[in-house]
Amino acid sequence: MGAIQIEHYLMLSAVLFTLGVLGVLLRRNAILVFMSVELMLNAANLALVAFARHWGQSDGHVFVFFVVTVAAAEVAVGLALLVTIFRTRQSINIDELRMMEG
Amino acid sequence: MTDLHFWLFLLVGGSAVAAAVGMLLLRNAVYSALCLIYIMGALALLFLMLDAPFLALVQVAVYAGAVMVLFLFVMMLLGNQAISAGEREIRGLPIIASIAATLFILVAGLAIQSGDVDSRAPPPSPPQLRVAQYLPAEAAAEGVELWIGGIETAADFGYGSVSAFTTLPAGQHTISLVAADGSRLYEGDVTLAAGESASWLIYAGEGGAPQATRITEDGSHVSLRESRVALVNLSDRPLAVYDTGSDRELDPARDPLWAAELAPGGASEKRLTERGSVDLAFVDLATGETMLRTPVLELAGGQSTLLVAAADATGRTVLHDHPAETADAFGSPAAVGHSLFRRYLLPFEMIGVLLLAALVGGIIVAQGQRREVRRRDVRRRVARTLAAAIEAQVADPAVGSAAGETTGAAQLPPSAGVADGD
Repeated sequence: MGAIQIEHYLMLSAVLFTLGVLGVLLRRNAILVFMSVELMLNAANLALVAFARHWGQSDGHVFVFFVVTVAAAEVAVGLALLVTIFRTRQSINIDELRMMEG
Repeated sequence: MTDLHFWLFLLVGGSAVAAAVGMLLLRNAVYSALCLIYIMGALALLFLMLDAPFLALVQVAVYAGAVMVLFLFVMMLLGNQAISAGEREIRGLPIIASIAATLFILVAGLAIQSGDVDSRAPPPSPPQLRVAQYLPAEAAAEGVELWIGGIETAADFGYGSVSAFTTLPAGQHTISLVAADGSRLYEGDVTLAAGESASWLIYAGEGGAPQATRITEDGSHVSLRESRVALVNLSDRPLAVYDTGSDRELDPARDPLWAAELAPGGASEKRLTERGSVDLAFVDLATGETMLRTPVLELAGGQSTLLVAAADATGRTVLHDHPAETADAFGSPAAVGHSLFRRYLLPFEMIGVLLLAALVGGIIVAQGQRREVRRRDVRRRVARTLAAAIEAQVADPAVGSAAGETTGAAQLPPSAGVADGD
């Protein structure tokens, strides 16, 4: 071992992404589901930066910049939705939010 | 150094994974948020290790700062129930999810290990070429046109002119100089490979015949404190070059030697010097006399400069300097900003529109349903007849029925009755 390669970063990115998916699947608290989505986005960012470094092209950095922006927008709208849902239903447990169920 | 890098990666990456597991398992949502902040910070460190200082900064400011403050703020706003919302678990889901996750990591690891990352490397950028001419002949002085590959690249390309860097397809190109009377002053072929950057210097060789020398340019990043310099000798004698420091007499024993022997038509190695003023002396190696003293020359930082000594029309050797921009440092704010505004301007604008939409959407959603105010006639709701008012005061229905309806209601208009009502 010793020399660090892009594979190490990709592997770390895959592990973090999987933990994010697990968070979305297992946690019932809507805020935690959101935080797990953020973790998945961050894992993808890590892979993008690793690839940009590997090929010496800064395009990957621009994509990461875009992902960060979209994530910020998503969090703002998502948390506003959560607050509204909490006001009307007095709960943010996603198992109890079943008014859209067919 | 690489060993340190590796252990740092293990430490930071491993602790980030541990924090992610903690985020998954901790019951209290505030602790989970703290874990996520740690992961963001760890990722910022990894970005630094991956030569992306700008993104590391954005990561800390936007993710660990703004986004996580928003999360904690909403948690505190919604209170205790949001922090420890009921974690009723679906039976068997954790086991199934863990198995699926392990499988996913295995498949991803296999793909990463067996995949050939390098075979899909992006193509190198097309080559760039600039041309400079130093022909002292009288015909080369005015009205000369520069043609590269059959396209007129520059007009009025006189002595000492240098063209801008032109992007060309890889391959062979013909460079020609056409005099004002239509005759060819020079014609030559240059072969360029992808990713290359070169200067093509046309000068008068032995006997005054035009010939050219090719200098491969190095456009890689130079820090703002330094300047990259290459010396080119286009005179007919071998030269040595000294830096005399400030405007002093040349002292070959003490002054630093920049080039020991520059053959005619030859170029020195590229060297990095501190930016600022230099004062060069070009010494003829055959006679030992100083052929050329530059005026104090300012070398700007972050540039790559070609210093060319060439004979002019009077036969004197003159120095020409041709600075060129160098690339921004990889991952620096300047590099990200350049690709953002040059190649990705439209996506950037669209992201701006998206943020605006999110802003408006967030306001609309968070405002909730506006409670419908029933617009009944307020006057009617507060008004009562004079009889009812007196009845309430006196608590005697007989007075109201006798006096109220005949006198009071007739004298007071309905609006006045409202004003009186208490």
